[in-house]
This record gives sequence, C-alpha cells and structure tokens, in this order.
Amino acid sequence: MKRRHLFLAVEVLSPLVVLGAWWAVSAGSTDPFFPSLAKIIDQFGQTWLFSRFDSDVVPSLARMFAGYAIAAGVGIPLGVALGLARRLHEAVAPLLEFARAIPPPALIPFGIVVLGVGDAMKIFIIVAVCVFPIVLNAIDGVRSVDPELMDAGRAYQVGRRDRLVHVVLPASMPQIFAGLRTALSLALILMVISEMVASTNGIGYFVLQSQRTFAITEMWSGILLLGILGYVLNLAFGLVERRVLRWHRAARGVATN
Amino acid sequence: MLEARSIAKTYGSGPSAVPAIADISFTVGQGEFVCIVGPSGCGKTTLLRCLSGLLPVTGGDVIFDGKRVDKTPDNMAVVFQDYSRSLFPWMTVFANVTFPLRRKRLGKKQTRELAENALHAVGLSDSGDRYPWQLSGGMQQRVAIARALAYEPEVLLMDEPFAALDAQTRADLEDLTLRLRQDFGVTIIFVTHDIDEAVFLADRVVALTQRPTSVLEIVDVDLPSPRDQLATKELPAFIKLRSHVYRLIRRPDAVESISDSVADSVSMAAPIT
Repeated sequence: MKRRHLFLAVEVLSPLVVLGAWWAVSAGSTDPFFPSLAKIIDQFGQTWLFSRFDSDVVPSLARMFAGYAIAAGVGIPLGVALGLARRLHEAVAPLLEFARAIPPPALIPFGIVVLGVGDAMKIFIIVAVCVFPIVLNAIDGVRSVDPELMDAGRAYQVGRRDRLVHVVLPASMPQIFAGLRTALSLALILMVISEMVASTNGIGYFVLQSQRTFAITEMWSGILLLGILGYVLNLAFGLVERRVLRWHRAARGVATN
Repeated sequence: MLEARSIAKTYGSGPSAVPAIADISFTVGQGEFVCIVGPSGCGKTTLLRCLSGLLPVTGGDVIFDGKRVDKTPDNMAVVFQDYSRSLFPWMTVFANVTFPLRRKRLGKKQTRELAENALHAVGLSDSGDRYPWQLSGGMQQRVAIARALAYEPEVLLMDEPFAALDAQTRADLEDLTLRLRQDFGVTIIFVTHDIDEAVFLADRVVALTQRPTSVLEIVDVDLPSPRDQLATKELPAFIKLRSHVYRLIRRPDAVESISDSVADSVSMAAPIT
C-alpha cells in the first residue's frame, strides 16, 4: 500500500518538477529560439483558449477521429475475418506485410495526387496507416483464443454466430485493444504530418507556419498543445480499456497471484 | 447408452505419428457412474475428448443412444478440468450458466428457472451476478457443474474436474457430485488420476494402461450407497478395491488374481496391446 502511494506521488510530482525546472531555467530568457515558459504559457492561453480552437484544433481532431474511426471500422472486421480464415490469411499475409512496410509519409504525395489537398487526403493517410496495427492485432487475437474456451463452446453446441459474438470477439478484445492503442498514437502523428505537408488549417499547419514566420513562442505553444493532446487521448483510451477489459485484468491478476 | 467400440486415436500420421489410444472398449449404462482412471499422461483427457466428440477418433466408434458420435450430442454436457479456462470470464456466473441454453430457445422464464435451480443445486444461489474470477477455484468449478446441470443432459462427462482443488474442497465437490447424480438421475463418466476418488465415486472403474492406452481391467465397485467420505472409506471392501486398482495401475506386474466378489465382477477386461 505504501509503495503504491509512493509511486502515485512520483507520477503526479515528476511532471510538476520538470515544469518547475523548465520555468526556472527559462525565466528571463532572451534566446529567441527558447522563450521562457511563462511566455509560452501566456501564448498558449492567447492562442488556444480559444481564438484558434475552432479554426485549428477542431478541424485537426475531426480529421483524426474520422480517420481513426474508419480504420477501426474497417480493421477490426477485416482482422477478425482473416483470423478465422486461416488459409485466406496465409494467402494475403505477404501483401499485408508489404503494405505495412511502406513508410506512411511516402503515401502523402500519392494522396495529394489522387485526393487533392483537402480533408479527404488527410483522413486517407490516417486510415491507411492506422488500419494495419488494428488488422494485425485482431488477426493475432482471434488466432490465439484459448482452445479450451472454444471447446467449451463446441461441447455445448453453441452456434457459429453466438460463438463469434460471445466467445471469439470478447476473448480477442485484449489484443484488439492493443492494436487500437498503437493506432491512436499513430493517428495523432499522421494528423500532424499530413497538416504540415499540405494544409490551410490544423495544429500541425499552425506549428509549421509559426516556425516559418519566426513566431517561435507560438510554435512552442503548438508543440505543448500536441503533447497535452497525446497525453489526454492516451489517458481517455486507458479509461475505456480498463472498463471494457475489466474481466481481463482481474482474471489475469488472480492467475498470477 | 454410451459405448466405446475399440476406439483408437493417433496424433499425426506417417513416421511421426504418436499413438495415444491403442484400443479401448467399454459400455456405460443409463444412470451409471463410471470412473476412468489411469496413470498420469495415459491419454485420459484424449479419451474423454473422443467420447464427447470434440476430437475425432482414428479407429473404432463411439456410440451414443445408438448413433455414432461425431460432435457433442445434444444431451451430453462436459465439465472441463481447468475451470479458469472453460468459464467465460467476461460473463457473469448467471450468463455463463445460461449461455449454452440460448440454442434451446426456451424463453426467458424457463431459462432463468433452469439456471436458478442449477445454481441452487450447487449451493451458489447468491453468486449469479458475480464474475468467475471473483470466486474461489472450488466455487468456479461449481459454476461449471451448474452450467452442465442447467443444460439438462442425460450424460455428464467430467475431465479431472477436481484435480486443481485442495483436499477439503475436493471432498465437498465429490459429495456434491454424488448427490446431483441422485437428484438429477444423470449418467456420469468421470475421468481422474486419483484412485481413491475413482473407487469412492464409481459404480464401475475402468483402469487404463500407459500410453498407448488400452483397458487394463474394468472393476465393479459394489460398495453400499449412499457413499460417505468416512464410513465408506473405512470399509474393508473399499480398501481392498482401492489396493486392487492401485496395483493394476501402479504395479501392473504384481497383480494377483483377486478374490471373492471383486473377481466375479471383472467382466469385460480387454487388454490388447
């Protein structure tokens, strides 16, 4: 119990300590590239609360979530289907590996040519990258369902549909969630990259534009915002995962005790 | 009602083939309690999976109610050894018990009744809303038994169901199993490596050889019912039977011809190796 309190204290205090140190070291800074934290925070308030919220943050997040949702909507069913169809999976595995191996930014020129520079291109890039960890993890999840659980289903002659919905899917949820988590951080990265290449709004666009116009404090505030976004998204994801996979954590906890 | 006709099971084929079961034959009558006992690693679980139709045999036939078994029959339920892997951890106890009933389309009321009765029978009336991982091992195996009971099977196959439990819990669940057999009139085939358990529970004990497995001997257990953990185990007949089965399994060479009642009842031994 005491150990846990200690770790909790470290978890809460260490970011505060880092921020405090940054504040102290950068105070009164005259270096144009490293403005003081006080200035950055001030700029942060002016920029993001809330003058550019509608014009940049909302479009960024909308694109990111659209891409993420499509990737999940396509990736989970596809991965489950491939996980169930062993032969088919073997047949398309090289294709999957090849497509996954293409570095994502390399798809941007293609996206611009085919879809232009609008939202469609950016969403396409996010989908094209996020779908792979989701598909591959779903395949793994389905294929590694405990055979004994499947036996229990078969012994009681549970129908195909019930077996899929109530046995295979829940049993592979931990792996599916692992894929979704990886995809979430990729979605944020691809959101920024796609906005830096061709865009007229968005957080990534703002950061690059600030740098190009030597508005270094603004640039820093954008980076700070991205960091906060990433952290909050991960936190929110963790909360959902905890809820959905409560049985998994608990069952594993009992098993290891 | 259930008959194994010289069944054989070989894993793989060609030179790398591993014979698990060489030749096993026995029959189980309506309402009988048959224990299958054998040394560790003798393919007991393989045998049970073959009997339940979860695993296809490579020779012989399993006949249930006059029909060849190629998948688990409608009126057969299985209780697996590892309760932590046969109950669904994302379902409550109640959902676990009712899940196999979906196929039977019984209507909500009847489903609920069956589940409640089954949970009551195993002494878990109050645990329907809990999750399996919130229960002790013994309670989890009770849930697995309740799931089997709610299914209303004629035959219950149990695969070393109490192997992972401590001695006292095991004794409780042995008593429970005997009581359920009485109350529900279900035929039970019970696989175990525990000789005491086999003799204590069974009407007949099927003793198996090492791999590749065949039947050493089928021993009738004519101990009085109801069985009692203390009184039954103190009976000279119990001790004699226990020792006989022990010798069969642990020291097959030292088996002498056994005397009186036991000898008469040794009927269908089929040790073909």
